[in-house]
Amino acid sequence: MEQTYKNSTEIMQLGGQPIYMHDMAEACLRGRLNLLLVGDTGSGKTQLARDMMSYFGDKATFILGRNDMDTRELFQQLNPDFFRALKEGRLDKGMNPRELTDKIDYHLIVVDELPNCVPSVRGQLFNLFDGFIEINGKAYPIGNGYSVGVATGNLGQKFTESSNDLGRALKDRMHVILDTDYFAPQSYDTLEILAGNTNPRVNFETDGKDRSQEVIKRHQDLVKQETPLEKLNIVAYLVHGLDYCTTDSNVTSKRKLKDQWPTAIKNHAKGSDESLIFPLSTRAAKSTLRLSQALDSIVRDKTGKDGLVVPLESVLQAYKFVAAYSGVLNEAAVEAHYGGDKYKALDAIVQTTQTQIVAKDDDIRAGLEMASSGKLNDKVLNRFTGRWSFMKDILTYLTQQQEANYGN
Amino acid sequence: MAIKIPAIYSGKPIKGAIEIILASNSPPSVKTKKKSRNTSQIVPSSSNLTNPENYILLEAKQHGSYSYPDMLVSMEKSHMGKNWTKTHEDLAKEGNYMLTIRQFVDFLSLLKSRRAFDGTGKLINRGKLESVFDEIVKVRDPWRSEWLDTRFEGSNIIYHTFNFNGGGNLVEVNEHLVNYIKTDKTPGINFNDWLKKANYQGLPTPKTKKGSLYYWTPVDGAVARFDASSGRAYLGCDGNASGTYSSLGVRAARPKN
Repeated sequence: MEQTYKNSTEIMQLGGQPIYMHDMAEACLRGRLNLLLVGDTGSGKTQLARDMMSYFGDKATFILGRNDMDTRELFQQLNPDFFRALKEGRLDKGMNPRELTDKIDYHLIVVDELPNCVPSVRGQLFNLFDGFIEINGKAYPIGNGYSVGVATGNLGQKFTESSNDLGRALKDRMHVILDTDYFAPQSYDTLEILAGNTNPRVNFETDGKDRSQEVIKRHQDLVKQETPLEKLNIVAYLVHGLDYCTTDSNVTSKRKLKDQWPTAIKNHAKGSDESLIFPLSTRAAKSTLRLSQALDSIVRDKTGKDGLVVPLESVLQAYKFVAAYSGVLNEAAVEAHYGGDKYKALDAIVQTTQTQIVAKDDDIRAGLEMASSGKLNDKVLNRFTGRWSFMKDILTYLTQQQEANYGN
Repeated sequence: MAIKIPAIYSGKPIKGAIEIILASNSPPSVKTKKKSRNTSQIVPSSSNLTNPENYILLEAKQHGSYSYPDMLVSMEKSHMGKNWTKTHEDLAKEGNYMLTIRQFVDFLSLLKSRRAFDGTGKLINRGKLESVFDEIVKVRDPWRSEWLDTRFEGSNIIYHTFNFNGGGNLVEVNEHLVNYIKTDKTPGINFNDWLKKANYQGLPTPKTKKGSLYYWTPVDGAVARFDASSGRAYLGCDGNASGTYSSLGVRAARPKN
């Protein structure tokens, strides 16, 4: 990836390796994860997005989000031929939809200032990010199997409707959200940028080469990899363990509390996750796993070594960047305990989660020994109570699966 | 989809795990067991040290109400990849223990002076001292990290000291944090000024000059660590006690007889 965006600020350490903004961008491309860059005007979001475009030559497109843009203009921008064919109703005249969507063969779609777009345009953009286009209520694939979206937006900027919709849209369609102000460049980066040139415009010049296949190959390699059971269990904790909570009357589930979460929660202490964070959705859980695998591959490429990254470390770091802006945090608690700093709140949750998981390691190993024997053992299963109750079900499932294998 | 059960999970074999957990009568507690203030352990002895030439003599010091006897501090880190609690436990089994932040500050000052003696009383080569110093603080690859004997609870600091009135036993001190920088400095504080002006708990005081050493202020429930990598060196008082990394270890220390 070209690096016209300069930023030497570490956003995490993984396996002893510093991970920078460009590494996260690279990880999103490998993982085919939609990335939203939020930050103040002039913080470099667009420049970083432009660096990501440098891989794709003419297979990347840049769209400036405006509130007066409608879907017709969007289609016109994507490809005038495509728009003309639609306008002339060639689909109705028997044209193969594939012929039409082939005209939009972008692998990367960058939308600058996404919150400016009206809902109908945004909906089409999210579809494009996910690799299809909707025409007359039908979805048609684009991008030859690989497409990903990068969007930018200002922090204080709201979507053209309510901010609740902003949260919902992000949660639904953007997999990773990075705050470029939080991980702002170092002073010496600024010096280097300023010494380079004094043109205040985003630099869109590239060599124009199409290196899409490099990215697609890395993505395919990543997808082929088997996800270790340890990672699956950690993410299961983020989905089910974090769902555990206690109210005045009983032990229950945050999901079941619905709108009563977090007000009905008993434990509001700093450091407690019960009122601070909602569990991950299955979609976000997948994003977390995918990002974790992609980050592992980045460390592997940097060092040339396998096994440097501990699964727990990798999954929880990925979780931090999937969850921070995805709408799962209790904003009031973040404000009260962490000065409104979402990443700091996530750091606290990561720390608590790490402690919980490490403390349960021996029991999980015993549970896996039970599962591999194919025989349920109540003494082992009874070790999993409270927020770990979900593990009882997982281990029972694995044991029964093993038992069935032995039966065959 | 069939899920494969691994033979190794979280770095340890699953075989024999049932026996291990059933051997303990009660389920393990998540929280670190808090020691009472009166809890003490016997001070380890250096008389059984087989390789005193690999240790550096850190002379006894008194910093206000805090003091320690002559210490031998290992030139090399050990117990890599263990969490803070486990590291403490394993050091104790060997008759060693972890440096407090204050001792670590004094140790760094000693290394920086380039004049120190080993456990046999021999003057250590300057180049060797320089290499130990660089290994700890130099900003370069690979990432290095070491645990320190300090835990934070609310506005308190917890570490160990020697109770000379009680026969030299090691006791836990749990006291208020005093005169320290309460905000993160990223960057940073001046490394030399920290060594010069650290308070008796080893923490930088508000008068410490600005500089390139990153500093993360104490966080409730966290432990202390010193790290260096290609990006920075830092004193982190916000460390996760359960963190385990291959580059994270400890500098074993014990009192000199």
